[in-house]
Order: sequence, then C-alpha cells, then structure tokens
Amino acid sequence: MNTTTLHDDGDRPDDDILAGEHALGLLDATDRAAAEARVASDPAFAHAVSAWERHFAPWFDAIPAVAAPAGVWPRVRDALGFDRAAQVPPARAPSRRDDASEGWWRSLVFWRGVGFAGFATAAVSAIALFTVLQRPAPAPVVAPPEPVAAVAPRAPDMVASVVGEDGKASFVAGIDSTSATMMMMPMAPSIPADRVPELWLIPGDGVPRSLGLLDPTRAHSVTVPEALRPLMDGASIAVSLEPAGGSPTGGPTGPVIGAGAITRI
Amino acid sequence: MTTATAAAPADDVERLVSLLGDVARGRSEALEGLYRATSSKLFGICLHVLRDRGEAEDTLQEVYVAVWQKAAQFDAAIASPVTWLAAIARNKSIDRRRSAAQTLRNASVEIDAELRDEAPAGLEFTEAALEGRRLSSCMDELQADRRVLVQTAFFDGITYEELATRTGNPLGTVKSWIRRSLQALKACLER
Repeated sequence: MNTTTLHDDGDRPDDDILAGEHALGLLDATDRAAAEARVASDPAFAHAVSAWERHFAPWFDAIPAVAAPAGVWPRVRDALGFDRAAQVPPARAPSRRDDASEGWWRSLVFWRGVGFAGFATAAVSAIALFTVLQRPAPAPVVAPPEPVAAVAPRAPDMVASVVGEDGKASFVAGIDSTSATMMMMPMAPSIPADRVPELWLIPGDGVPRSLGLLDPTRAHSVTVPEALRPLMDGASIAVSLEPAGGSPTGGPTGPVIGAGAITRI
Repeated sequence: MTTATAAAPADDVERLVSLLGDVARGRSEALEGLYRATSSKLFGICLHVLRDRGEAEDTLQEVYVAVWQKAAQFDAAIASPVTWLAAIARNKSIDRRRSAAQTLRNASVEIDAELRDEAPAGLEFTEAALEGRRLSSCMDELQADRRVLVQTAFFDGITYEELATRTGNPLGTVKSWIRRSLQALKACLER
C-alpha cells in the first residue's frame, strides 16, 4: 500500500519532513551533519527546522531540572577568559573559525586608516543617497534583502565608506544613529554571479557581527538590530563575498572587498 | 531533587531577554546571571539525553560558550529565550551523542535498556501554556504507539536505527511511521 502524497519510500522525505526529522534529532551522524550544513546555507530549510522546534518546544518543560555541578561555571568563565575583577571585552572561546578570521582581522586594522581617506567622498555620497531615498521609490526589480526601517530615516549623522585595496569604494553608507538605519548606496561593485555581498559590523572587540546581505544593484536600507546598536560607536563596517544565502558559519568566510570606519559627520 | 518547570512568568522572560541582550553586548556578568537562572534547566536536558553526568557536565560548558558566541542571533520577536536556550542544550547533547566515541557508549546502554511500550520515564507533562495544550491535543490524534515513537525521539535524542532496535521494529517501518506522524502533526498544528 503506497500513499503517493508521502515521499516515505526509501530515504527521500520531502524537505519539510526532513526538517521535522532533524528537529526531532533522529538523523545519524552523517545525515545530521548534512542537515546542519543545510540549515546554515538554506534559509528556507532553516526556517522549516525552526518551525518544528517551536512546535515541540512545550515538551522542554517536561524534562526535570537538575542542579548543575559546581565546577561548570568556573570552567565556562575560564574558557571565555573572563576577568573576575574587571569588565573586559569578550575573549572568544577558541573556535574552528579562528584561523580564517585572525588573518582577516589583521588586514582590517589596515582598512580602518583607509576609511578616513574616503571620508569626503562618503559624506557627499551619503547626503546624495539620503535625497534619493526620500523620493518615491519605483517598483523594485530586486526584493530588498532587509525590511526597510519603520521609522523614516533622517539625515545621516554618520558615514562609512567601504573601501577596497584599490582605494575605490564598493558601498557608501549614510547612517542615522537615532533610528540605527544604514542607507547603503552601491557604487557599481563587481560581484561574481555565485556570490552575495554580506555586511559586517566590527566593533571595538574585533568580532564581526553580520548585518545581513546587501543588494549590489540599488540603494537600500539596513536596520542595525537592537542588540548591536550600542556597539556602533567607534566601529567599522566591512563587506565580504559569501555563498548564496550568506555566510554559513556566522563569521566572514569569503574575500573582504572593503572596509571603513564609521565616522560622525 | 528534580522538579518539572512550569511556563516561566512574564517578568522572568523579560529578565532573560534583557540578560541575553547584555550577553550580546559582551557583558560577562550577564552570562553569569543567565547561567544562574537557567543552568539547572539546561543541565536537566543534557543529562536526560546523555544519561551520564560527566558527559552532561562537559556539554553544559559547551552550551554556555555557544550562548556567549551566538547571543546576538537571539531575536525576542520570534523566539522565547527559554526555548532558544533549551534547543541549544538539546542540540549540543545530541551532537555529543552522535560523536564517534559516544556512539560506542550509546550501544552498550541500548543493549541494557528495557523495551519501552509506554512514554519515556521520568518526565512530567503539564499543559500550563497554550502551546502545550495545542501540541498535546494534536499528539492525542496520533495512535498511542506512534505518540511513543515521536516522544521517545524527542526526549532521548536517539537515531532512527536506535529507535528501531529499541522498539523491535524494522528500520523502514519506523521511518514510515515517524514521517506519517510528522505529516499529521504538521497538518494539525497549523490548522
């Protein structure tokens, strides 16, 4: 007896069922790793898995709580390098990203200086960008990668110019710090067909935080998530080229096409 | 001593959201506050999946390191802080179960495990929250043995193979039952 609507023949369930199997934890080591990789690279699949996790979430309350052994917190504290006496910027626990991101960071320090050189261009472009965005927008050819801020962006009070090795800006950002909105103006960057530009905020601790994917074809708005807003002061932004769907690791994996310091106008 | 935890009161949730925000900003004392507020719940989850205190301890440490690294990804608009944390704990625990060394240990535990024909032991189901009642009523629409399969999968974090062995059914049959159950649950939950 075969139910043709269910793809349960052999090992080819449809995506939504596979997402459910992964959320339940039924996949063996190999399949679990493959599903995790898909979660990182395929937003639709990640969404399906999250939906299943939300469906099953009430069951967490059925698992009895057990007091954690005394030694765990001190080991967490030591692993993360917390100083008991003073507040220090977070030292990241060693992760497999370290090798790639360490070298990347060194080059970023260089880019900070370049950011100021692009300031004049950035200031002019940012104001022009703001004017463009105030006009009624034509029907978009490409869907905006991020929802436009609910608050109308005001005149930018900060700018950043994403400048590459060749001294040319690939993006200019006019930033309204009150609404934490970045108005991104692409400067005809050349992006390979199988890559997407991803925007990163790099605060004082040097740890890049993703601000999402950029549209290289039209001016658009990026809203900085609330949790990251306090980190904007003295931060830089950078753009890397990532596979479709964005970085699978939570940090930049592809080439950095430029960076620049966020500067008050 | 073990206790079931009821749904967290609203101000507890607010406090956790605020702590997660501070963790995302790099405040180490916020991670400590989060640890004090949630470690027994998360340790309970790790222990339930791994059934070994030493493994659960090591995993709990990994969980809070992961929370430190991922806190900026938490979005209070679409997730509850407790669920977000609990999912990290469960996923890390299952990852550890799947690791090569742990797979050998799992095998010897499974041989000794009694064949269960009832819901996993040591759990206390309360349906304080609306979501819990909806899940419960959709689960009730499944046949009893399918319910046990789905719950065993969730709570014990075992593979299809282990589930087949434990319940004494062929692998293909177990996969088919689980997939049909997921299909039915989805249709019911999204009504």
